[in-house]
Amino acid sequence: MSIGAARYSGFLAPGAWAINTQLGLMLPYVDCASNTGWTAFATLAATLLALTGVFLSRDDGSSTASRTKLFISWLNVLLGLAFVFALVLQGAATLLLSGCER
Amino acid sequence: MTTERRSSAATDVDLDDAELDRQLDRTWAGRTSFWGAIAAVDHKVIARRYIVTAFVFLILGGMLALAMRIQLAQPEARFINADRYNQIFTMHGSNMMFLFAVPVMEAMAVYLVPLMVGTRNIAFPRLNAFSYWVFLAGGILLWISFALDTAPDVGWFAYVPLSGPEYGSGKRADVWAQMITFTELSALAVAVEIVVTVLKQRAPGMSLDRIPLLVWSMLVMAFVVIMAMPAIMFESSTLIMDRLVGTQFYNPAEGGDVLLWQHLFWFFGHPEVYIIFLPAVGMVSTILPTFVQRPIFGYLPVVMALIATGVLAFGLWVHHMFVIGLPRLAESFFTASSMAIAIPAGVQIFCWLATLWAGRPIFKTPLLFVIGFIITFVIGGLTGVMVASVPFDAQVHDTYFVVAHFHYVLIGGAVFPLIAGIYYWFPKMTGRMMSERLGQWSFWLIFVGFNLTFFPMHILGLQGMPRRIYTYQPEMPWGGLNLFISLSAVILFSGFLVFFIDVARSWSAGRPAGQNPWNASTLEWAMNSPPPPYNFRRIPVVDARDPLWCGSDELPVASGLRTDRRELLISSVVEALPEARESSPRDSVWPFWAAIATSIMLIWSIFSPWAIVWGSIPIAITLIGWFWPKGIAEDES
Repeated sequence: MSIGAARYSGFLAPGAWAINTQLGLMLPYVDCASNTGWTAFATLAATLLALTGVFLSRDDGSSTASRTKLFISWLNVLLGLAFVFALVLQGAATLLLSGCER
Repeated sequence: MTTERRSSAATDVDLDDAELDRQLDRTWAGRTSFWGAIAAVDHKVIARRYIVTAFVFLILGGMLALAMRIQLAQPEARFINADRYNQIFTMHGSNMMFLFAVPVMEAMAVYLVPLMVGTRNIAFPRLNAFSYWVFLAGGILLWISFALDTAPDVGWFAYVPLSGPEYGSGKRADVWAQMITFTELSALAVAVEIVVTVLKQRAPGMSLDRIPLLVWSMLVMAFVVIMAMPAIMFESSTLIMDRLVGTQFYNPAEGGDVLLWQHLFWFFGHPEVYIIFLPAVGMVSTILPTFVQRPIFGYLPVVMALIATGVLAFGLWVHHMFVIGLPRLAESFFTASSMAIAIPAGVQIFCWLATLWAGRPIFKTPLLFVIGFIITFVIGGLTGVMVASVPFDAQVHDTYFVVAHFHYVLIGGAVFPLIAGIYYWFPKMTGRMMSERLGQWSFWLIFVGFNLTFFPMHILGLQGMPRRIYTYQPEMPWGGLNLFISLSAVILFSGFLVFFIDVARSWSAGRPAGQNPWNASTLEWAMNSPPPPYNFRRIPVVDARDPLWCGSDELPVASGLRTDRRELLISSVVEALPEARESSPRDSVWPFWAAIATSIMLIWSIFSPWAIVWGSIPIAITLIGWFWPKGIAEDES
């Protein structure tokens, strides 16, 4: 993967977290009204997307990569893990709350 | 003709150091007259003005804090009346956030980033000068309104409907809104300059993994500014429109939404905390290695932490709004992100502790303030995790617990590192050392005074004392602690007094500093103190993360830049490979006139919407003057 591709895989995890955070303000109303689990589903999908970003970034850090490329790759891995952690915490909330609690 | 002129242009090749210095000085030095000072675009000159002005605002804001402490020292005091108290706490918050904290951090970036990345001036230097004049005008507007008893009285957040046309009579809320427009315009301009300087003007060889941590922190801060500030500029503009034109953005009766205000404000307001904190992280990560004489432990994790903090900062805003009635599940998402941001913060702290542990600490004043920062920021971070919890936050919301928390985060997390930074870079900026003895006095007075002042506020908050009250009844159990806090504030104040005395004294009579008095590793220490107008005689070539600790006495350098015009080296974003030579604008008075025209338009628009129409004409004229070709060498592309 090129340096550019590695850089873009690093956007997956923060992007997934940002979208899921926004959905967290919208979907609980739907879940409460329709008795659905869209918030939990969206969080699961975002977590998987973030993990994909982490793995793509990790794959790019082969032993033959240049110093800068390795730096970007590992930076993206660590960054991705931070957002995966945030998403896991958000996922835990979807398991505990239905969306109707005020 | 252009080709002929280029081929005969003077470059720095084959010139001895003395002749090169002479030629560069002739090209880069500003005029020493009054209008020469007004026209200056040297990043160091502008940054010094920013820093001095911001510290003047710090002093003024500190005076307001003391006035509030005098009023609250005993129950039912009559030192300040309720109306003036409302103005004072609004002024204190607005002044400290918009006129001190953000500008001073950006000013440190304006001074240090070009030096640390190895370039001769910041990108868009005229925009830089413009930003300073606009910032100054915004500050003057706010303080003149205070002198005229028309200062904002709606809190630094200016919630609607209190600040709207229904309840905010007079022009107080308009002054707040336009002060915001002034300062955010200025902040956005500086942020753009920092981003371009870091991404395109780095010295050859300074690839992404060799960028100094302070520069990383300023880059992330600048991106956060660019993402966050438009939200509040939109707010200030729409508030003015609601109040002056009759739009209904925040009027629920006409389809507007008061909660839109809170969402927009905190979408800006929470990242604002990190706009102030991230540069502090960079300062600590730069100062600490120097005073243990070893490279930072965990460069990569610290960079990760900076970026993660900058992004996560945009997912926390609702934790300021836990009592507005959102679904618990939605609130929990923001609790989750608020908890998650403790991870990058913790990573940074462990990296700093490991750096301290592995090195040999030299306990000079900058390191003392860094250690003071770590202690206070950890306390502030812990209470931050507490208020990120919905049930706890619902209990302490709008109490002094929150006041204690954010002062621990903002003073502990930003002012301590900033003072460390002033002690650390003062020798570079002025060529003189500050007093170590006064520095130690200053540290202990500030550290002890700060903790004695703000820690008891946690207890006051838990006892139920609300924020923003101008007095309280004797029956309330708050009198003793309030008196204690007010007395402690005097210790804190005296610490700052010692600091300012030290600055004033050292500026004129400090011991000469020399080039690198701390034996530091970054590029700003590779030149004389204070730096010459052109910063580097020749552009350095970077082959290590700590270029001055590589064992060699002299840095490798690049040559070929012209000496008869202001010229910079443009490099690639990732690897910092040289790409082009680009001219850097000369001094100009037009940014000053553009700022004057902008100020007239913004202040006029408090009173009439037609100011936008007619006020745009002088702005357009000044911009034409600004960009009109002058027939000088810098005009060549």
